[in-house]
Amino acid sequence: MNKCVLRGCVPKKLLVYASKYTHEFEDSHGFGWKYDTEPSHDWSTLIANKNAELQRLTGIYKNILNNANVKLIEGRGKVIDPHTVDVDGKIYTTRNILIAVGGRPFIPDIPGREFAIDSDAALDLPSKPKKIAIVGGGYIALEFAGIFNGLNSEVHVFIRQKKVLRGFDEDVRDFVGEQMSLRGIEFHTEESPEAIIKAGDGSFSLKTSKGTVDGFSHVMFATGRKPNTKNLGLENVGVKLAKNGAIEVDEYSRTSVPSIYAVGDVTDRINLTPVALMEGMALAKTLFQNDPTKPDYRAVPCAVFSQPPIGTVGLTEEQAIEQYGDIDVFTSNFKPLKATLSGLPDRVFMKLIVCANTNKVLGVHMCGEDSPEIIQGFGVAVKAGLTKADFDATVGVHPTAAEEFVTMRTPTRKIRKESSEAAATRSLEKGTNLDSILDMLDKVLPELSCPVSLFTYYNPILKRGLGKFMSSIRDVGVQGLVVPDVPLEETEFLRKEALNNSIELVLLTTPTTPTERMKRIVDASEGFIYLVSSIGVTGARASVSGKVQSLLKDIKEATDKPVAVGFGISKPEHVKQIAGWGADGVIVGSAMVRLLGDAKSPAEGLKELESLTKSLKSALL
Amino acid sequence: MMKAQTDEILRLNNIYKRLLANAAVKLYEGEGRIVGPNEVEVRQIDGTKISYTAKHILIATGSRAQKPNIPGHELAITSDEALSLEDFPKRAIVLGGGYIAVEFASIWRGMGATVDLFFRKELPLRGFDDEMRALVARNLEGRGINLHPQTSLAELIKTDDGIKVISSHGEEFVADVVLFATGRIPNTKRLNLEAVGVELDQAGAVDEYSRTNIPSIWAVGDATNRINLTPVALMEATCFANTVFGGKPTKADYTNVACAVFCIPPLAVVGLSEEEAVEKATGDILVFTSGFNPMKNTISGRQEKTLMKLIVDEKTDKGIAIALKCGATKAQFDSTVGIHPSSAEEFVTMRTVTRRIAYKAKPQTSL
Repeated sequence: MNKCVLRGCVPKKLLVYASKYTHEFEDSHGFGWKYDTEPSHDWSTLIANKNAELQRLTGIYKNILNNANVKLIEGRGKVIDPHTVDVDGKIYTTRNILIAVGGRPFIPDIPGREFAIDSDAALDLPSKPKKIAIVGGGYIALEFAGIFNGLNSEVHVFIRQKKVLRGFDEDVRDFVGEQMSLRGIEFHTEESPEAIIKAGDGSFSLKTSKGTVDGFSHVMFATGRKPNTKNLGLENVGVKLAKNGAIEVDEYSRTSVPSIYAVGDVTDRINLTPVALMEGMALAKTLFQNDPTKPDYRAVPCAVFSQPPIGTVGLTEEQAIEQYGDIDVFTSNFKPLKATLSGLPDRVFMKLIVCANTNKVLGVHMCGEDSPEIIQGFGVAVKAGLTKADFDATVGVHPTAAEEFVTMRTPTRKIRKESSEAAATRSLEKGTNLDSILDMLDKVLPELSCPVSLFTYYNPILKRGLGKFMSSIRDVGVQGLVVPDVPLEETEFLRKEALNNSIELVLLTTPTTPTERMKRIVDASEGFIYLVSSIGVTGARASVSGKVQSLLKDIKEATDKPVAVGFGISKPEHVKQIAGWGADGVIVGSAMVRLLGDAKSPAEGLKELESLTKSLKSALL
Repeated sequence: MMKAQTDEILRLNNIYKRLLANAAVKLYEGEGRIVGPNEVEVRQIDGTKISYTAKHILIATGSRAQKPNIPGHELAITSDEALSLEDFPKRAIVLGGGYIAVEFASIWRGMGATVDLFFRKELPLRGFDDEMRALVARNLEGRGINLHPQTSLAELIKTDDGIKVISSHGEEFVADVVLFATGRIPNTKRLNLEAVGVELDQAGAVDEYSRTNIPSIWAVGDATNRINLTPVALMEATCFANTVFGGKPTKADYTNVACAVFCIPPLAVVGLSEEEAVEKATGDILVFTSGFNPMKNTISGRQEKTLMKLIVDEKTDKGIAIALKCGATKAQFDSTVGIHPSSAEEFVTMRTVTRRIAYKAKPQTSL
């Protein structure tokens, strides 16, 4: 727990408070506040006051230990055997040993790493950084980016991925990245650090996989933390460690040595202070209250103190789809009342994820002022397994941002496993097979003026035999083929056989496809590029994600081949949007399947399909 | 700032008008009165009167501020004017102890005014938990607001220097603005209700479905003086819509409605006060409190405490908006991991009872 108070959560939060004032001062003008001079910040006052407060808190914790009759022995500790600990040479025997040494920052071994600072040093800098490079996309990187940006440093954040905060809900990742950029932080995405070079004038240059950026006064690495298990003597005692040095424990926090236990970041489970607290309390109950208790890791709320901050509890949308299948997603993206007078571009994003079958709230996510405090309360609700109906029955507190969570009436999107999978199952049950499809195509194709492509999973191809499949479909006049479950690396043999039969193999690229890979996909794709317009299982969505626009731009830069956008398209508005962004075509699936499935008869279904298709097509003209 | 505020209010008004239009609601602007169980008359802005018949009439005219009949009361303003004062009041006097009074006192004090707050009781915010009321009072004083408990105003006199105010204790004050925030009453006077036979002014004027004593006339919101909060009006209206048009008679649920008072620092509550809990108790009541100077203040040096309080029925372990609504227990609170560092996490880490209030059977009286 020493990390949190001295070199973690507490000093971090104090610095976050300090850095928020700049935004508040900017905000205040719209509310009528004028100053003769702009407020200026004195770094040394902040650090001195921060350190005084940490001293005070350390004193308090020491008192708490004292009052609980805990003997505090200060020094460097080592485990000698299952019941013996050595502290600076003095030996202590004990019935149980608990290891809670936490983690330490990890800096990759690149040339110039001696010039880099970690989060420990960043909390105690002698002066404010003028221009700082922060390497990393996790919560530590974002929090420090916000701190230094708020204190008027020039901040550049370098991340390996396309977006920050891997593991968080995709909508939240997009939103916080955008909001932070609007506040002046410059993000360099898909860049890996290669070296830090010290220039003649004392400044640092950061060389990455994409180039070099000069002029940094500081380079900070926030690229992960490793369990702090070196030199504890653990290996000699037989305590099993994972590859990254984490102490392996069972559900009761017991290590491979029966009298030795471990909790907190050193076990690399969920690395949050309150979780370590929970693990510690469960252990106390198990060992000393004769009440074996396992810590419960479900629905652990957590926060990122970026600016704006994030609060989250429960599953992300992606996790919810994976674990529950059918879900309803409610989102709200709005300008908070405060920003209406200030004129600043601040917005708030709030999201509820609900299981469509049980109505249980699976996840609550928010990015905006006060989200951490707000989400704490909702954490109790999610942990207690409350439903959307329970939320809706709760009267809001007005006027607040939080009340949005209890007044979300219309789902932004409904995800139903109305995927190709479900549609395929239904048609298979009705007796559809490859031969019946080939028969139909044989009759119908001569009357069509447009080319026909087939969309299939790999299994039917495998069953028929690759060569036979390709020649059969060529014989009836099919021109293109899409096989979504074969990844790029394995399409080679498919392509060869397709080419032999003059069939064009169309490949798919998605919003999460890394740029390098996307380029290889567009190179290899025949006919056109199939751009998946949203992540996750297909299902008619309420509106097309704005990401499509930038993805289209990227793809168009990489190739001249036509691009068609698909997955979730169901309305003329979608088509108009996508066409406006430069797509050459749109692909409609679920909407048609649903329409046909819901129709009272095939004839009626076809009629409705005709009018749907006409309305979609007219949006293209 | 006032211009920006007015612009924003106009913008929001237009949005609401659009919402109505998009829902195919016809908006008639003018002064309305009820002339029959199924008839409404509107006197439009140009003076002409039109009548409309309707199957149902819903009254949602809200409330209006009420000024006590103190000599010189015409010199005082209500919250209506307070929201659009032309000039900033350097010296302000506020009469009242409710949320409106403390909110305006905080707003003006926050902008640097000298503020004197007068209220009838020992503490402001009657009806709220006493321990919380005491802290609110202490915090208002801490921010420099002068509190005058158990004091009313006797007279207001216009002078060249401002408004001279004489308190019920005989003290004299001078202010640029005197705000009367002593209560609001349902806004039903000019609706012609008496002629139609609708009784709205007493308590219980509408039933649980928001229907008045006239079957075709309904009322929701502050006009019915139940719980006068916007989201509650919203709830009452939604239930009305379900009952009358949705074929599903729905009663509004008034239990565990959360509410906030936006004084500085603000107060937020849900569920029973300690006093109410003790009153309704059928067993022991456990009170968990956490009072602390929040982290931010330790650096700024401000001496201002945060108080967080949880009241639990020991027998059922049930303790609070969403959670209380579904009878969540203290155990469920405790099993929720905290978000750190935050103030909110205190609510899920209250391990030790601050005090226990033993159940006392009410004495049977024969009167």
